[in-house]
Amino acid sequence: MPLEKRHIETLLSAVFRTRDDEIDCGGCLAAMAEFAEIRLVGAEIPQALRRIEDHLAICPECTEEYEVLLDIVRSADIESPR
Amino acid sequence: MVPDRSTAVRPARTNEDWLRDLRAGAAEQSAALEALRAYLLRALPGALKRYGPMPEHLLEDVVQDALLRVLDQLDRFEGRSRFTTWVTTIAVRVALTELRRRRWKDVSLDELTAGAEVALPDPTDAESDPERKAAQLRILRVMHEILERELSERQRIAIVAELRGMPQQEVGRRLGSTRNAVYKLGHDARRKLKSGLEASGFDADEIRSTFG
Repeated sequence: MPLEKRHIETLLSAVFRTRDDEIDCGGCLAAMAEFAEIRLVGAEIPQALRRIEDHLAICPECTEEYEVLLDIVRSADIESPR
Repeated sequence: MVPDRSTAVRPARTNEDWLRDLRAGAAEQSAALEALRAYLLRALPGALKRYGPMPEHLLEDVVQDALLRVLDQLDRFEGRSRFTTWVTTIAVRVALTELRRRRWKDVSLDELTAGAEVALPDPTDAESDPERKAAQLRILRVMHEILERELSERQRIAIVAELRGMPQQEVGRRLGSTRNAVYKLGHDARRKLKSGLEASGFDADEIRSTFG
């Protein structure tokens, strides 16, 4: 079955986001909590976490997990003491 | 018994409290685990409802598995987020891994990726601009060449399966590999495609304008 046009476009988009030093899904998981909390308070993403952003732009599974995490963190009592 | 989710409030402990209690004797550890368990049982169902109702026994299993992983990985927590947020990332991954496994359990990787070895289509039939159509064809031919000749079989499978929606963990399960390893296969494939397209004179802007 041929790849459809939408597949080609998705692939091309991912290809030109590709970097040599990408982190994998394990690396993304390790820093996802910190990344999510920074995003939720609207602060600037530090350079060290930019690779999480890059990974999420390419990996649909980590993006799905990140969105579920955001839902939970938003709905929890984020004013609770750390 | 799954608690009412309407109040998924974070247990009021500091990160240091959590670490101390989870590393302490049986009574303190047990109380901390119970607090985390109650929190996750409240928090997960609402966030996962988009995937359909989650049977109570499955939710209990997911939370139990997540807590075992938390204990196992406690030394990896670096205190850069709330402890409960870190625990939640682990629980969400465990939950979605299980839901994906169930959703894809009857799908054959061979069938999903069959035919992809010669599978580049003609560019948009509806495309009326002849120059644009010709540019699309040139790009597709280069991609076709790379997919056919430069990618390994596993790299091609990883790319095609992901494009057709199969989660990497499920590709890995069928290849006897891991999610991270499948990600690496896809990454290597994307790098080859990128360098091949660039070597043929196509850059990101040109491709965007040709397909956009």
